[in-house]
Amino acid sequence: MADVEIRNVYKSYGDTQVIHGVSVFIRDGEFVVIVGPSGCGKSTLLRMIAGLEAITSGDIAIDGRVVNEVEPKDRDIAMVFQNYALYPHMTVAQNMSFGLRLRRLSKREVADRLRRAAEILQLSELMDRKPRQLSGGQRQRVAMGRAIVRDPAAFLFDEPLSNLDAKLRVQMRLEIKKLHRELGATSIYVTHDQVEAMTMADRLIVMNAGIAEQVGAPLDIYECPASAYVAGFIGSPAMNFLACEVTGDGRAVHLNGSGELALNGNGATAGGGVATAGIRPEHIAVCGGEDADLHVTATMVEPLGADTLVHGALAHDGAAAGPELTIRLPGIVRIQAGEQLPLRIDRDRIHLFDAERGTRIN
Amino acid sequence: MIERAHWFDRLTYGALIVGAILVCMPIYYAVIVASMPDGSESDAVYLLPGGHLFENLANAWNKEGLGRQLFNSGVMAVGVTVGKIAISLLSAFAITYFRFRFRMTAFWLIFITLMLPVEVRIVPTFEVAANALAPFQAIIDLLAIERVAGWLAGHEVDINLEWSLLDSYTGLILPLIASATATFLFRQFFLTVPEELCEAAKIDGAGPMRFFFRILLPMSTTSMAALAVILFIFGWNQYLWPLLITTEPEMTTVVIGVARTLPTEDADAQWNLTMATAILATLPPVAVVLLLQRWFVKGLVDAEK
Ligand SMILES: Nc1ncnc2c1ncn2[C@@H]1O[C@H](COP(=O)(O)OP(=O)(O)OP(=O)(O)O)[C@@H](O)[C@H]1O
Ligand SMILES: [Mg+2]
Repeated sequence: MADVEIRNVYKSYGDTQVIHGVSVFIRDGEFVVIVGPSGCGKSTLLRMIAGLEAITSGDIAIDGRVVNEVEPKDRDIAMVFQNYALYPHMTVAQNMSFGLRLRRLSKREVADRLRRAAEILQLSELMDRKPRQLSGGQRQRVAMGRAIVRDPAAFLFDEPLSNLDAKLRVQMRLEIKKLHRELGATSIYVTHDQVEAMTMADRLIVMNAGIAEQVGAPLDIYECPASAYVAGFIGSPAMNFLACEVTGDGRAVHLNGSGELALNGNGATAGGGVATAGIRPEHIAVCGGEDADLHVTATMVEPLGADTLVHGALAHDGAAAGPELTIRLPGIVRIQAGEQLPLRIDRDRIHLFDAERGTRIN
Repeated sequence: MIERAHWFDRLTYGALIVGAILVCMPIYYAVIVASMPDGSESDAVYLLPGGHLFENLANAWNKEGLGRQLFNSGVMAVGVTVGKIAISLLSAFAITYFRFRFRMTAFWLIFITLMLPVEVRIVPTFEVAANALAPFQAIIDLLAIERVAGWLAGHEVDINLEWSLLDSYTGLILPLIASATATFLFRQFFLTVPEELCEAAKIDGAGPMRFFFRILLPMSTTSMAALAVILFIFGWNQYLWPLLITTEPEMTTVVIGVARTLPTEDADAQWNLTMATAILATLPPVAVVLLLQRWFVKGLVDAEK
């Protein structure tokens, strides 16, 4: 058990800097998910914590001890790799115990730990198989087992589920979460799947091009994204962005062709000027014609059963010409493509972002 | 479509059969000649066996020195095989997994030796083998160390380093051990090993040599077996080098032994004996191929993942 502190960490490969100063404090026992698009530096950050990648500047401390110069094996961490990285010529038992044997633990201790891990992960039947005789999900479990037997201060996961099919991914997601509740070890989990991020994390680190753009609890980030980037990345389908004009007192906005929408209680910090309004698809409803803030012409309808996604173009002077908009309506709603819909926007949940820098301004 | 495939099948089988006949003909003929009675016409062409095969084989076997020669060949072939595999595994490991200064230089040096087979570098190799310490002697001469030592000792000093590898197993084996081909083969194999495996081992606490012995080596066994077959035959079939480096009959190899039974100007040809000896000389490589063929094919077809 340990906390992990990342203090102003930079990473460069030659002349190209890929991590531009990240600082995060990860509490003991916390499950933190690092999420971001491909190439934003998630793996690099994780690998620096693991000690597989040198830190260009800044410090990483595990349990209060700066580990910049400490070998991976002495950092008291365990890592689960995306492709599992099981030793192909060893049996499951040998794979899991390899590290323990190198540490010269007694035979009994090794056997004890193996048995316990095998029970937790339901691997007892498979201990004598080679990795190639296992299914993807079973391999995944062995990789987890190899981490568990080490009894590390922190678990590091680099996209451990991305090689599994959708169903298995959901199942393993729950298992990892359950495991975390049982073991209570600090876990740092890298993914680019935002459903994994939202459901597993105690806290999320949203990364963008080498910086930690926002750190916080998943729902806090969902409800109050710090930037247009985060707002667009978290939530599916993605948030709609519309150009808008903020009134002089900052209490209301004019959307593209709409009337004045009062921002109930979350007015802009500064009045006047143009901004970007962010509206989540689920915060738009179909309404009676007289209440409508906007009209869209539906271009595509995706019925999902639990809810219905409507893609449409903002109507302008009766013609569908404006920007695209996605709307999420609860339940089954029968709408035809080409239909014009009057829409009402949930005023309490309009996010405003600086038009240029993308930072939140309300 | 089916008709065409049918024809294509026939064509490939035809090519295969012709090729097999071409390859097998000399072997068949060697067996035929080896079964002829003593004193048969040497320029006659025989097609059917003569019924004296085992008698001739026994004679060849009992001929003086053949057992010794087979033994020498065995030592040399095994030595070359083991040495080559060991050296090239290690050098491939170094080139693939370590970032050291002059890494690319080392890589290219090895690569260049690909173009220099034994025959090309045979004269300098022989000189070194005649006195393995010659390079050190050259350095000593160059630096005038003799004079310095003489001055220190107060009397004349003569330094003569000599370590001859002639007529020794070391001399037979050592110069053939460096192998660019095998190094490349293993490098290629190591490159296909996922990087995460190395990282997982690091986290598990394995140092470089542990990683090498406990993970890379066991993973390479099939390629090693495949290579061993090729290298054993290579070592066994060496002719020029053993011819140069050995002078004592005690140290000759069987390939040279076979060559020595060829007719010279002042001796009668005994083709049946020559062929019988040749057949005996091919048996060990055949045995090795049969023994390792399962792994050999596996190593060539699928590097076990
Ligand atoms: N060895 C390297 N040399 C140079 N640049 C590198 C190296 N490794 C990674 N990078 C760069 O660093 C950046 C971050 O890479 P990283 O692997 O951390 O991305 P990621 O967020 O994990 O992406 P993904 O989701 O695709 O795994 C990328 O732009 C990548 O090109
Ligand atoms: Mg990655």
